[in-house]
Amino acid sequence: MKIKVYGSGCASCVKLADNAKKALEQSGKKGNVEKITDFSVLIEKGIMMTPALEVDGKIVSTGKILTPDEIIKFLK
Amino acid sequence: MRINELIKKNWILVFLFSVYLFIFLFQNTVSNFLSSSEFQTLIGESVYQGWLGLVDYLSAHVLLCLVPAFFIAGAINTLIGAESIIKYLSGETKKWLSYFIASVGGFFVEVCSCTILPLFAGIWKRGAGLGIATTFLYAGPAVNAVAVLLTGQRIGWDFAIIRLFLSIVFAIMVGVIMELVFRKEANPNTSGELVINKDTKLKGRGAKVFWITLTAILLVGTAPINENFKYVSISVLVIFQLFLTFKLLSKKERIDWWYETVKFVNDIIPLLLVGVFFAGFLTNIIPQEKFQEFTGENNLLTNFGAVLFGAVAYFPALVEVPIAEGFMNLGMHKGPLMAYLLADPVLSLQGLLIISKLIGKKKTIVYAGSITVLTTIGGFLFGLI
Repeated sequence: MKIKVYGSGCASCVKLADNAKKALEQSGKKGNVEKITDFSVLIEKGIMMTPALEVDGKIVSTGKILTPDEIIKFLK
Repeated sequence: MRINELIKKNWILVFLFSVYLFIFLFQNTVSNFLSSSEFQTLIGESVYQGWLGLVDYLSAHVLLCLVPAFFIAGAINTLIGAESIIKYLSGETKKWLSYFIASVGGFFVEVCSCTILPLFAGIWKRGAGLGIATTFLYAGPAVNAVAVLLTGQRIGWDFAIIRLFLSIVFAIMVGVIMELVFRKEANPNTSGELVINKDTKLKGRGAKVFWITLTAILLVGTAPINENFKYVSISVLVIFQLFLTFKLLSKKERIDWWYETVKFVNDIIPLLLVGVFFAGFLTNIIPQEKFQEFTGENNLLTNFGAVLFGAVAYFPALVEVPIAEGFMNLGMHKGPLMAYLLADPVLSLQGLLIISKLIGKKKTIVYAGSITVLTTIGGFLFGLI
């Protein structure tokens, strides 16, 4: 599973990335979590509210720091 | 150029050398100055004033004003949601409505301060265009409901109302200016494709009572009425509010609301308290006559000076209020005071630098320039009343 966390580097984005890593571990699936801070990518994808979460190419949440439990739901 | 490069790489040595040189040359003068009783009294008094300011801000008055405000802000963020506001900025809405909503909604949409730029870019490129995106950029920090309430409490309700009104008007004006000047790039996108969450929120007749009660708590808390009556009515309202909360909101919504409110408190209060202390300290240190010489009159120069100060001196959200209060106590005329209150939240060199990376120097200059002119004139006019 390819998980991407979009943000510009502030604490909320870091937290979301941490939670995503935890969720991935808990789910037992194979994959990785990537943090993207490049502005142009964010704008191109149309992401308006950071932090944003993308799972396997699909943006599942913007503007929220999801808990690991909430993230796991998207990993199934 | 080579010398500059060498200095950059070895800057710590340059820095230490300068410090040693300074101490070598001025050690005695500085020691005499710092050990003098005038200096020590001055510092001691300033610390005391800072402390007094702190205690004052932790009073019931301020709490009753800020706490309900934070709860309301938290409620709007979780229950109405930033997305509902952004929906109106998508280019499908009538322009004048978008402008208005951009100017008032800015405050509630700031989930994370680093979200302002992607949000701005999104509204510009994929939403209603540069003008409305600019209004939003301005209004986010400027039309800050909590700051306005605090301004009312500490400086005066005439200030608060005019501050709110002018900030909204200026936000819209600056947006329109940007849109007109950069017409070719304004780029409103009427297909309205925005990537946002869709959640279910609080609805129905219960919702109206819910919001009215929350607002009532805020109004009673800030109203200048008899204290006993205030405490009794607030207690009654709070109990009713709790009842409504448990009846109308799901558990998740209650938890989200709580933590969103806590987040606001977390983001704002610590820095506010530091700012309050600092403002009290500074107010004591600055010589009053000199200060009044510079700021006691209302003319375009003093107003411009106040705006410039607001731009250069970076203070976090809400701290402009205790600072302005300090200036007021030192005798600043109400014109430049208003100019400062209007300009400080929006203009900062650091912020402008970041923005310029996104929109380029030309647009940044037009943006900063319009704000400077408008706030200077706004303050001046207010000073004339």
